[in-house]
Amino acid sequence: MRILRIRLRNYRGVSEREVTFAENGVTVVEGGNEIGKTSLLEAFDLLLEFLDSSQHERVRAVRPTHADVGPEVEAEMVAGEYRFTYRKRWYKKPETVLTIVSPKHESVTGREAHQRVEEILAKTTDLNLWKALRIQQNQPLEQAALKDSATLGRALELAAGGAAADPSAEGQGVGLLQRARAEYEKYFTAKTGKPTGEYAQARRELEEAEAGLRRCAEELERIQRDIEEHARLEEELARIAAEREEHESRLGELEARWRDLEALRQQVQTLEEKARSARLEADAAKKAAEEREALAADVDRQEAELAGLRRRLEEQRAEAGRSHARADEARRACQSLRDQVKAIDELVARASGDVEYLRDRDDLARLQARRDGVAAALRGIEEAEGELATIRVDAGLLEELDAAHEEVVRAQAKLDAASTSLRVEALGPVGVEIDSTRHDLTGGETLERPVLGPTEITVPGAVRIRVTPGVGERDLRQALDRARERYRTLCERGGVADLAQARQELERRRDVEQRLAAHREKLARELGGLTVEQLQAEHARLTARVGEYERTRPAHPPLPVDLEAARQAAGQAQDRARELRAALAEAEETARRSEQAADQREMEVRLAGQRIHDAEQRLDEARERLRTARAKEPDEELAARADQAQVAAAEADEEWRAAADAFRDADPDTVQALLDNERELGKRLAARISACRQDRDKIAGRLEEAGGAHEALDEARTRHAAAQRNHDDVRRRAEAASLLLRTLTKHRDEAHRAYIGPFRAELERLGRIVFGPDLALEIGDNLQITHRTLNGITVPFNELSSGAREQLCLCARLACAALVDERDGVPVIIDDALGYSDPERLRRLGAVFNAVGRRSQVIVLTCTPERYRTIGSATVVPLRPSSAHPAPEPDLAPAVPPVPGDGRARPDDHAAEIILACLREARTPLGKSEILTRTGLDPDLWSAAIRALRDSGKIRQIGERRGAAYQAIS
Amino acid sequence: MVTVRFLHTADWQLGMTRHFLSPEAQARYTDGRLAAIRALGRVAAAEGCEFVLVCGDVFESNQLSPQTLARALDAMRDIPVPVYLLPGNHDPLDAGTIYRTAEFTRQRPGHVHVLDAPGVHPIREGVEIVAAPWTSKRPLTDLVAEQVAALEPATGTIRIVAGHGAVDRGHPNPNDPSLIRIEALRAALADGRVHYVALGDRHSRTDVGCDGRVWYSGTPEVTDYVETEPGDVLVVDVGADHCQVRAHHVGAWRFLRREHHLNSAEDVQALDAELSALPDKERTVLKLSLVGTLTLREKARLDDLLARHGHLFAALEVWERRTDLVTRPDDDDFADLGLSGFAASALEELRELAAAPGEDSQAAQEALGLLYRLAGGGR
Repeated sequence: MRILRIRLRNYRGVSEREVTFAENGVTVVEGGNEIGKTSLLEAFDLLLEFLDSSQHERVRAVRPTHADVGPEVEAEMVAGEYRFTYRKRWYKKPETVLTIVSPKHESVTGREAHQRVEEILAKTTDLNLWKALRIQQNQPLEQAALKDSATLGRALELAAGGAAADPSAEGQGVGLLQRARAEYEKYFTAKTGKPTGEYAQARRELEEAEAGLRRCAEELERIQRDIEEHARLEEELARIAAEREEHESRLGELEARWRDLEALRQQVQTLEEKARSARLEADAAKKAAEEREALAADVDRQEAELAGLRRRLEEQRAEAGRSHARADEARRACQSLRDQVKAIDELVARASGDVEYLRDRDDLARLQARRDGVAAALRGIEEAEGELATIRVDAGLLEELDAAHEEVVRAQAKLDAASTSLRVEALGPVGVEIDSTRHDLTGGETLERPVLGPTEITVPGAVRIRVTPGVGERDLRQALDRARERYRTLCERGGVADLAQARQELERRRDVEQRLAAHREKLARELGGLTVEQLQAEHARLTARVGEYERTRPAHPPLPVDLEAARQAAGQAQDRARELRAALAEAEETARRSEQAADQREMEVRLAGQRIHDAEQRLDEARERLRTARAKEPDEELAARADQAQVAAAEADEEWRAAADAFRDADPDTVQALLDNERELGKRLAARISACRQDRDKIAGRLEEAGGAHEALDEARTRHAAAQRNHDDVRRRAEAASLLLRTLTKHRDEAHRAYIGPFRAELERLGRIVFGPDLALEIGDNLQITHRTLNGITVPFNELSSGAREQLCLCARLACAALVDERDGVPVIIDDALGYSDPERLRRLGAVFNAVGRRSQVIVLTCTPERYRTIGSATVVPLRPSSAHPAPEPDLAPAVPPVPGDGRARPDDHAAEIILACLREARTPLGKSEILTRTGLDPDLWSAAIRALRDSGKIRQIGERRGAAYQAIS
Repeated sequence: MVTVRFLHTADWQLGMTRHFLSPEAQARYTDGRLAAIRALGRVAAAEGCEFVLVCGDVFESNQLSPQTLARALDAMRDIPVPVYLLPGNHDPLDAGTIYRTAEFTRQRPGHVHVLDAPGVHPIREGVEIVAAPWTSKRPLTDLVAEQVAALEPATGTIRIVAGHGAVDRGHPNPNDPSLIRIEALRAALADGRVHYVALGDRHSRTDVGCDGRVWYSGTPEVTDYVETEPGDVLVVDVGADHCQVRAHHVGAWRFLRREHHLNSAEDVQALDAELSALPDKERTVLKLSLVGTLTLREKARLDDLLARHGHLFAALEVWERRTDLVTRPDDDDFADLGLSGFAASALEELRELAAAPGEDSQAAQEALGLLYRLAGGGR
């Protein structure tokens, strides 16, 4: 198929536009964005795809914006042997017009025209290839899906050396494969091959039927088990009933034996009771006799005891008398010692008073001496203080005075230094008055004085000189005066004439002060911390005490000679007093003990009396009891009764023992054990019967309700069988579909592998123009590039740069275009690709386009024409914005395309002449490329020109297709 | 001289289903079995039989739906003479027995009796039935022999034994203790303890021998392909010194098995004609075993005719186990389709696969059929 021309009218924003494409070679349609490049192709698609009555949204979308008219598309095309013009208008006055000009003229309209075009295209054009070779704008540039193209497959097969197949065979194969896949996908999922649809349904139904069958079979089995269990339980019940009969006869027998034993046991119990009473009676009699004997013995014993007690009382009384005597004696000894102690205490007091007195007397003497010392010291102090009061100079004053004196000297010196001085030198004897004082001077005598104030010097009769000292001098003088005044004031204060005297006064003051200090020290020493009053008081106190003691002391004994003797006497008296006191304490202790002992004895005597009294009472009671008892039952009778009871008890015991032995010999334990066992067995049998009956009744109840299980199973079997049949049938079909698809796919892939060689050769030929002579490519089964090897480096396709991928994709499409037969080819349409390619590559791609364009139709739509500038042979069609005015109503007659040979001058006529001239000149057959090289002819013009030459019989073709060569016929 | 005429039948198998029947066909088949019972009732009336004796397997199972039971009892109600039912191996007198269910006892017509106790059941003056009912699915003794052995010779009384089960003669497992031993029967017949032995269990009408006094009546309506002369009941005249047995056909269904060799279009054509000629198709169950080799075209025709007839017959089964039908495309099959390129080579491979023996052969044949269809063959 070739698109020769597309014309749009009232299409979107375009009122009219017509673009003519080169039949062979590259047509570059240039135009800015939104100018309507893509619309061209879209319009072509709509033309082929939609009926003029279509309301499809894609058609609706292209209604013109500027006028209420129907969009219209017209295309002039070549497809196989057909050359035709095809036009459609939608919405307003919808219309379809087809005008076929060759191979024979034909005009069709309406739906028929649409169908006719579809028919022509189906017969001549590989629509899969058409789709694959288009590169759409806004879609990623991907590798073309070339696998399903029959045309390409055929071309490749031819190139691979295969036989020329029926053109429709490959398409048929592809269609078959599609149908086989559809068939497969009725049974399996496309991706994972899992059963789906009818097959999955059949499997599911089979599984469900199996489950149902299993359920029903289990139910029936359960019923069968119940039936068997029921039968077993019935048997078991019969067996237990037999056992129970045996058990009941054994039980009767044992119960009779047990009743006999019960009677015997009753008897034994009675006898045992009897024996026990007799024994109690015998024991009581024996005890009474024994008690009687004990009572008599007790009376005897108490009598003896009482006699003993009385004897002992007499002894105790004697002992108490002795104790009292000893206590009296001790008390007397004590009294004597107490008197002695009193005497010695007086003696000790006297000795102490003596010692005290003698010590006071000594103290008084010493105190007298200290009082005299104090008086002397006080006198000295008074005297010194009187002298000190006369002295007015002290160290501070002296210091001030000293400073004042120095200030006077300094002021004087300053004044002397600064004052005006007067020197009068008599040159001869002269009398001079100075301040009214007359000085008579001899020749050479001089008079000098300071000028202390305004001074007048007069030489009488001669001159009067008045000297006035300056202001500074006056100040200094005033300062001196002040210093002197201060010095004089201070001297006055100190009561001295001058500084020297002040110093002497200060010296004197120091002497007096020293003396005063000495007296004070002595006073303090004599006082010894006391005040003078205290010292006086102490002296008075001691004087009084000494006087008092001398007055009161008796003359005898005489006062010891001195303090030491007094102390000795006092010490001796104290020692004696201590000794006596110790003796007294001892004697008192002895007396106390003796009294205690006497008291003790007395108490014992009283207690013994009480005991005797108690014993007498008890004895009386015992005697009374014995008497009463004997009165009731004399001793002999009691003894006889006890003996008789003993004999009766022994007899009863014997009788009981005999009966008990007889009972034991009847083996009651065994009988009871047997009986118990039998009764337990009875209970157990009853329980078993009850359990069995319960189980049986439960099963019977279940069976009562179990109707229909067999039929349910039958039904389930039927369903299962149907499901199985259906499943097997579907599975057979599914497996057949699977096998068919597998087989077809395998063979298709094998066929494709055979194509890969020639495809790669062509692709590499084109690729080398772009990438250089080292390029090698690997092609996958699906005819897509998997790896590129360049300069020995192999890179997977997907890891190539965007630019390289784009270039290879383009090459692949162009390779396809180059491979397919000229007659079968479809346009390669490139809607603005190559955005990733650099200028150098673009230039090389231009060469590729050029190389392919000689045989195929390539249409490039672009808004960046510079990308495609390098295509040598390109026909450039610039698109300009369409006029906004609606186009006039088109002529309803179809546009008749130019027909070759219609007499109009055509560019290829000229080309034909050039080729013919070249061939005539060469004289030998030449190939196409050689002719083009020699003539420099535009390759676009080749096809038409060579066809015209061939048709006109001016040249002869030798060989086919690419191997073809041409020779001029002379 | 005492003589009696009665109708001997057995193996009604009421409640039976056949898995190869569609639900619709099954319903008609069930009706057919009930119709057979009414038909034998009419035979009994026409022949003047005193009673009908059913020797076991009256019901297919003890576990039937109330509906099935009600319909069965309703059919029995239409029999104009007394009916005696013997429990067999399918409907034994075990804990689950159908004969003691509330449904059965409530709906049982008065003239229908269950022989639910082993031993002698007087029918009328001079006629006794000696019943050997099954009490479980697996008896451990010869129930019939047990009953017969307990009898004294009868004088002036006709004794008819009602038994169920296989006889020992010709049985694959002759040591089975539950088999009915013919010698015991022969002896009892010889010394006049019994006069006729009515048996059930075999669905084919069978004269066991013993001077024509021991019979299997067979089922009154066919239940399987293997049965010979099913669909009959027996009218028995028996006295002490004579016995006459006549068969009456009451069944309406047929179970057929056919084998066909198919190797050409003509064979397929012949099969078509034969199936068309079969009468009563709606009551005929047909099982075909097909052997031979067909082309795709012929196979497609065969599939078509089977589908067509399948609608007419009660069931039309192809017996997989006995079918050995190979589909082998011949050159004509695909020539018209003009396959070429990879489709042609794929076809070649499938043909080889189909021709080679092996598991894949069948799948390959099917795949070829599919390819034939997808490529537009047979249009």
